[in-house]
Amino acid sequence: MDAHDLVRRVGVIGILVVVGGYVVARATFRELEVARLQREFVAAVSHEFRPPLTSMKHLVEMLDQDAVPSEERRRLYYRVLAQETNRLQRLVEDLLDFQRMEAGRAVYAMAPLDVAELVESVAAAFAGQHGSADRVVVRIAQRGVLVRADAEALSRALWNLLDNAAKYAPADTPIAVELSADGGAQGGVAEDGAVRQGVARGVVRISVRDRGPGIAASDQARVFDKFYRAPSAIAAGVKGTGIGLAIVQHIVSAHGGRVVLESRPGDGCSFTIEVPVDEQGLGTRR
Amino acid sequence: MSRILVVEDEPGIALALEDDLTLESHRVTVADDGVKAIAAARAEPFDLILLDVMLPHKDGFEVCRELRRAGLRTPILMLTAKTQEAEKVMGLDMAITERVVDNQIMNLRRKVEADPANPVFIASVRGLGYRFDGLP
Repeated sequence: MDAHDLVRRVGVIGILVVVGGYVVARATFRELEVARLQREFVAAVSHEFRPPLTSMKHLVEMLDQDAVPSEERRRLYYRVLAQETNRLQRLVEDLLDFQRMEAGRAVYAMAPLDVAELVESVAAAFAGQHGSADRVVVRIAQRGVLVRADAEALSRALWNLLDNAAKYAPADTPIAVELSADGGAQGGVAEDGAVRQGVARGVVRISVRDRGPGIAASDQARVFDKFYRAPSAIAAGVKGTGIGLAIVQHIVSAHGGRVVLESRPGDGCSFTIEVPVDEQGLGTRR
Repeated sequence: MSRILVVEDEPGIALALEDDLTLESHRVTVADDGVKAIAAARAEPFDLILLDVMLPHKDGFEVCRELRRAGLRTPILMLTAKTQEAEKVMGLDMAITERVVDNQIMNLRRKVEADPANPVFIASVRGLGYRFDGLP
């Protein structure tokens, strides 16, 4: 073996060591990062449980001690207790569902679904729970469009987007929900009732737009990551576990769709759920 | 009997606090965010401000600083589960920070009188509730 070979072999080994070291370092860094995010997640979850439990405990104590000032107030206590119970329940369901989604074990019951109806009912329910009815403004650009979806899951995805919008945008700004469809949806059905072949697969878009602070470009790629909470969000004291958007992404992917985020800092956010139109349902809606 | 401003965005907690304090013969005003809190504090004199740290849009620390910058000397009791963080943040700005443990306000009147300049108290919210006894 001459000097040349030796140098080459050492060189190759050297490169392997460096590359190997780099791979290990990156993996370690990522592990630490995930561990950190999970710790923050556990803390965030505990913080999410606290307020509803605190208020329930206090209200129940007052009821128990007969310290309620009036009948009207008592009825209000019961209403609030019911709301807080629902809130806790949703939190628990979210966590369990998220775990199932992560394990690839989420089960969806797909069926043809009228998107406009779903959007309107979710928006109405959300607005009802969050103060004013005109906080959420719904615009349906196209009616009668069907998608194959799990109603509960898709509702949950939309609800999570609304929830984020409400958390980040000032209370006096409206949240705009828009439903539109394009592609095959417009040209699908011929006169004899047959669906035209070769038409591009239609897409339904449900977008939720708020007038909050927006998301910096550097954070945009990460907001869908589980447990991730943008530094600006944490700094602003916004409550959350960091799994809301991860859940939305899971659900929308399972529906053959995707979520698109558009935002500029200072200019609010727009999250758009895109799912394929149910071609079977095209034009059959009366 | 004192006039108390409760700054709390969780409706259930605000409800219970309002009624509980009213039961103890205090006059309670509730503000559910920092902006309303500052407006309310400027509009009328309060004897005590109960200030939740986790508020939407403008957090409790910011509200506290703004109140002080506006020249308001009302005693402020910050409700937080993270007392060390609170102390660090409030630190040098405040003449006094006293840790109040186990959800009880001990002799608040005495503390206010002992050092009336810029009192800010940080209440540790242990467990799941806070009770207030012995308010002036």
